[in-house]
Amino acid sequence: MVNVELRNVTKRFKKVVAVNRISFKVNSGEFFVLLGPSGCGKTTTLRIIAGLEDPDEGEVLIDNVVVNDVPPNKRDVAMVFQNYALYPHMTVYKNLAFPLENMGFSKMEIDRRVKEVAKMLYIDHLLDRKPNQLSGGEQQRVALGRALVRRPKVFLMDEPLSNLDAKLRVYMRAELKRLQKELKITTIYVTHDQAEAMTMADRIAVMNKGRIMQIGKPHELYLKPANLFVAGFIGSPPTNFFDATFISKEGTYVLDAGNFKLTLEKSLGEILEKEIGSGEVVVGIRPEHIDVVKEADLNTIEGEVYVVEPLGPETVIDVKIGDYIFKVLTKGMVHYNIGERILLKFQMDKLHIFKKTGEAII
Amino acid sequence: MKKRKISIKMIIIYMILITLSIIWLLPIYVTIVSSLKSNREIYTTNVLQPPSNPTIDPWIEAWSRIKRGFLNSIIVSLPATFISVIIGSMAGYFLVRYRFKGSETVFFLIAVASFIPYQIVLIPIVRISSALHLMGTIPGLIIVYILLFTPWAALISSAFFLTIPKEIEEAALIDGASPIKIYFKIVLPIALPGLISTAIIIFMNIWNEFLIAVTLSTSPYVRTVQPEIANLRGTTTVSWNTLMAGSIIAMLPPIIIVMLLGRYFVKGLLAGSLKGI
Repeated sequence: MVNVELRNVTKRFKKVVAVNRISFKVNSGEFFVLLGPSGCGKTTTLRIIAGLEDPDEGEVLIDNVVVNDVPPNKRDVAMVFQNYALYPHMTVYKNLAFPLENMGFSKMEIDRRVKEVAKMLYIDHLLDRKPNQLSGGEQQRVALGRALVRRPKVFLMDEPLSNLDAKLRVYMRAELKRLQKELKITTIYVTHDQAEAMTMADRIAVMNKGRIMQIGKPHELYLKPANLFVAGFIGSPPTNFFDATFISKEGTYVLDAGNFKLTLEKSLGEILEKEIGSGEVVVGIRPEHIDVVKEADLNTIEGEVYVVEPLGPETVIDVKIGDYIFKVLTKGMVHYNIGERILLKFQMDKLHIFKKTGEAII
Repeated sequence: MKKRKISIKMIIIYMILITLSIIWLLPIYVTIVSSLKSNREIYTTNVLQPPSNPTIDPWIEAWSRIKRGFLNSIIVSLPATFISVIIGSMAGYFLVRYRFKGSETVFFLIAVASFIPYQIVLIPIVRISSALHLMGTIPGLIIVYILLFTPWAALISSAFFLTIPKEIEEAALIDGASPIKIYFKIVLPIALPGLISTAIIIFMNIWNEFLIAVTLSTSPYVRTVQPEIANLRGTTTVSWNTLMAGSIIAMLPPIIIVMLLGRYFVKGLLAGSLKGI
């Protein structure tokens, strides 16, 4: 069992800081996901762990040993690339055998292991084919097999599912997760797809502009985002944000968004007052935490239906309130006409309130 | 079966193709026909007319006079091509894959070296060869050709190396292969069609090269086939039939090589335009 640790790692490409003083520790056997938009430094981080890039500062530890000066071929990590990087001139069998040949195994042992992995991944009927005779899904399995066959200390995966069609991607997501749990190999997985991260990860590190925004279990990131970026990145449809002024007056606490006002519960108001006194904040509410109600009440907001997106089991309604368009996620198929006026009510205990700088207060 | 429609566009295209083929094949036809005629017939009949009395005497005569040159050409061209491609491709690979300070300048210089007409450096080449006592020797010719064509090989092969995704080499590195193993087990086999194309281009250039060959081969024992063909012309009267037969014999090696390795040549030229290499 092997853990991986990064300590204050920085990587620059000329003047661009791709990875900026990041630190995290991946526990032994954990499925750890680096999640972020393109250009956030997640792939560079993975390549640093693989040894394909040298960090300018900081340390990389595998199994509690600093490996900064260990070349990739001596680190005993396996990597699955986004485009699979199969050897085009070799058959599937040769592709799978290549890492084992480099390790100096006997022909018999190589044969045994190749066939074992091929069977596990259901590619045993493809062993004589060349990569260009395989479908995308099959190529992906071979790439995975080439990584698995070595039984490496660490698995590194760089968006391995992004080239598959949507249906296969969802299927492989579950397969990969099952495989990882079965083999218990420490895995670091890079993706920009938050759904992939949420469904597969034991823990997620959300990255943006070379920095780590938050590390936590999927439900922690969802329920308690540390900042505006994480709140906006995790969840689909994304969180609705609006600017508001927090006003505390004679024991009542109000968020004034201009077009509407929200009265806060005392406990919530007191926390806000303690944190910022009064002033400007950014409020976030997830689409699934807004209810459509029939009768006006305290904190109900009237809006105009802008567009309706039925998804089958649920429906996304875009509602225009002042200058903002709020996405509202409701269960089942519901019908509204464009322009129809409806009443919304936020689940007040699910509000996320951030300072103007982006840092979460609640 | 669906009947193929013949459109006017198709007819025009085929007519252009047939005309171009005739224009291109005509000199070859004349060469072959003339090589089978006697000299008298060549002078008295139309060049396009087939031989009335085909004879292979000119072929025997030509072969007896150029066979040494022919062999010399093989002895010079094959190692010169092989070494140029090996050294040049390694340079090309290094320049494509390893960026270092000044790598762009080196690449630029190689490009310039390939594009300068070599006639410009003929006199320095002669002076250096003479100083090194390489004038009139086979190794001298081989070395000069290697010097001239290695930059070509670097330049042409680098284009093929660029088409190999970097991830494939990185995958091999992570799979535990050493850089030397990666070059010989992964890069070379993938780039092979490209390297064969490079080798064909360089071989044809060395085989057909005349100026260096005639300048450096001061002794008849080292003269290559191209200067020998020029000598076939004779000094007083031109014996066209022998000259034509000799020309065809000299054309054969490049033609055979292209026929044998042609599929690699096309594959190499198409590299990068196709997905899934």
